[in-house]
Amino acid sequence: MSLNKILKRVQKPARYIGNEYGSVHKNLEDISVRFAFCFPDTYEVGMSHLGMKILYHLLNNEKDVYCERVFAPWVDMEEEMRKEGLELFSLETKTPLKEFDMVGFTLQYEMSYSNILNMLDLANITKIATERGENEPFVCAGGPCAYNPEPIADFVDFFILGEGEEVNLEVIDAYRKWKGSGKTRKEFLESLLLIEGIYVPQFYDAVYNEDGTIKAFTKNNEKAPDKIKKRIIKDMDSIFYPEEIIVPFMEIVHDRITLELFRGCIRGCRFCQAGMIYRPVRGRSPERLLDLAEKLIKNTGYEEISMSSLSTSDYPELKKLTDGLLDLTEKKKISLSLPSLRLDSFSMELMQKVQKVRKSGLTFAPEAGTQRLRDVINKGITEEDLMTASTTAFAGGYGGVKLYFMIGLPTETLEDVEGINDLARKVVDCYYNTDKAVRNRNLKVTVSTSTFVPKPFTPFQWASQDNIPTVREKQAFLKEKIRHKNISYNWHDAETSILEGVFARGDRKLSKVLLKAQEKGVRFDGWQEYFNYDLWMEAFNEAGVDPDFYNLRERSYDEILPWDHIDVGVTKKFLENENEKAKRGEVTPNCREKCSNCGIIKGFGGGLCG
Amino acid sequence: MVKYRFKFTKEGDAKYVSQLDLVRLFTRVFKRAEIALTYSQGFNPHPKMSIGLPLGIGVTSECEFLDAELEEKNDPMEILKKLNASAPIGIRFTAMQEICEFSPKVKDAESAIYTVKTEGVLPTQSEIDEFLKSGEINVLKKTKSGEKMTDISPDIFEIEKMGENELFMRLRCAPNINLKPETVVLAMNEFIENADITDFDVHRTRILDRLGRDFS
Repeated sequence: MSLNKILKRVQKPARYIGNEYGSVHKNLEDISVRFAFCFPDTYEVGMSHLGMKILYHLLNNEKDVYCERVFAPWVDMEEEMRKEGLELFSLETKTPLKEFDMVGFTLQYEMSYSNILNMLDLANITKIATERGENEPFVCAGGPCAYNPEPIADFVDFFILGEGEEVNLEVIDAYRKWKGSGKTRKEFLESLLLIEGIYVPQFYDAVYNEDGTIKAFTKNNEKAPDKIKKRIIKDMDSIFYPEEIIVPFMEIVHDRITLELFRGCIRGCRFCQAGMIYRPVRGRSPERLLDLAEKLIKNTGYEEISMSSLSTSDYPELKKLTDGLLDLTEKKKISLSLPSLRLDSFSMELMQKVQKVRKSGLTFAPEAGTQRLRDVINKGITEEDLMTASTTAFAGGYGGVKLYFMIGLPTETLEDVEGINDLARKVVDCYYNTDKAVRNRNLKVTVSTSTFVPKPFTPFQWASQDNIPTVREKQAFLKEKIRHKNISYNWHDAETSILEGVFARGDRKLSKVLLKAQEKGVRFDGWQEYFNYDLWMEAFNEAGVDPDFYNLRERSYDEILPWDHIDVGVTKKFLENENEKAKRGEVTPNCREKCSNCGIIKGFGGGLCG
Repeated sequence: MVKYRFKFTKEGDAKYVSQLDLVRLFTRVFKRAEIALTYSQGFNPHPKMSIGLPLGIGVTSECEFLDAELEEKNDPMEILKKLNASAPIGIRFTAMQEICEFSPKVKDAESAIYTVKTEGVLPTQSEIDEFLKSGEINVLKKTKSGEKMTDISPDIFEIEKMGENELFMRLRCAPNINLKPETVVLAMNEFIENADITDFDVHRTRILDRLGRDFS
């Protein structure tokens, strides 16, 4: 087989072999629906993604459904595949993608869009949805970026909005009914309109004003809903969660068991899309989580388990859960990790508990350098919180602290940027004020800045984004300020954020740009070494689309936004109010202190927001 | 605490799993099988286990070995059964024995036996013999500091043709020098006029120490 020959020539061949412990194997004769779950990035990245683990096992629990995995082949593999004429295939059975019934992409970040097109290209699947033949697979997509589906609407037959555990099975059911009925593709897509959370872009048309803004967005199929409402899972304890997961042969990015404590976030940081789109807050009980942990430890043999959520330390029964987990893990030499700790709820006790097994570095995210700007973004933490947390960490023997900030937030001035340096230096002072006998011998404070990108369904969705020169100027300014032997400074390149911003708030006009760019050979835009800004700008030029239109202007509240037909539960009015409060530097209390009527309870039934 | 040597196979696509990845893989296999390994002391405890001798990526084998220290002694058949139930496709434990003072030591490893199957053209046995007797066989070998011409002739013990498309090779396989069958194949293609050994698969069948004893 030619694959065997190719694999001997590429880097990391274990990316393409499948057959890992826990992967699912089925007899194809018993299968009526074949689903290809595609992650538009490398194996190591895709296999780290929790959503894929959940949906893979959920679908494979259905007797007559076979869900297989597909990842973007790395550039060396792609070159070999194109040379040998080998089409993109699934890991489990090495079946060409175009032989599947459904091909589903997960949209985790905008910078993976070019990989989607490249994967369709490698699979020889028609890229434009309305041009696909009756025998071609249906291409669907879901995940956080699907909340503004418009930039890739031309390539996708249908989008699945919201949490997938229930709706995916409903889609499969509709497919079972359609398959073999002799009905057309269009009839299948129409049958999906009865399912809440399904968006079929070809049933809608966008009309534009002369200035490029949207004049009207209307449906052309009367069965299509006016607004498409996302799906949520109401009861987190009874919903499916995998008790066995695939254990890869090679090391992946997050090579561990992930326990998902809860969905949603009570905080309401104004820059954060996840904090808005995953509302309301719903948790699993400690009992359910401990039961899952025990089974996953037994079934995977993993040596690390991570408690994952948007803001893990906000889990109401964290003490009970960590105590229970430590009982399970300590004697088995399994380490426990906490991905995101909030400074204000950071506790010595929790940190010490976790480090009983293994001590890793600590990451804090003040996000902005001054209290003024932290109030603007509603990041309800103070300098004092950071100092207390740092002192605790240093007294606990930690020597490495990472500090995450954003550059380019609305209303930011150089004074705010300078505040980042001031904070970092105060953290260093905390270290030197800690007793020599208990503190770590080495100190390393790492400051990282990412560039703020306004996202749909956030209070900053109307904001203008900093242009490249401004971002560079701020980065250079900060670099100059931070000159300290204990502090290092990392920053994200400005161009990537520009492109991310365009696609985050883009409309259907961008599909032409994507097609051009893919033809020119862009892919792996999220990987610095393959991101080619100039090629992208050529594509924009040739498609006659101005990227600045999407990034460098402030939108008015009455403008029709490309994602206005999507209902995530949080109302536009709430976002508008939050944006006005941001301008005044007013903070909004967290959801547990006081309900701010974001709209989610009204839209999705009471009794939620745990 | 008891030290065992496990014999295992690496077959099918598992041949693409690197040795480095195997260490992590085995730790997890033992955890799933609920067979307790002994751990080192300290901040980052590691299981006490080591994988025998290097095997190139893409090479299958039926004679790999793993030395591991277990918390307690148990019925070998029981242990093997549990391990195989917890191992991924392509990795199979075929034997185990307690390590004693007479067990072959890694530092005494000398050679390994391979079969090489090809879709290409093999030279005749006399051409192979001539190649082996010709004196120095200099090939470009990658070293830490770049590439270097190396004479591989002292590291080839035997090469024999087994039928139309199969070769038997015994090559040096020691902790300090490990001659890969691929290197030999490339040298044969270069130095033997009628050799065109393309698209070949390599399989390791035995690892021997200086006294000619199998490791497992």
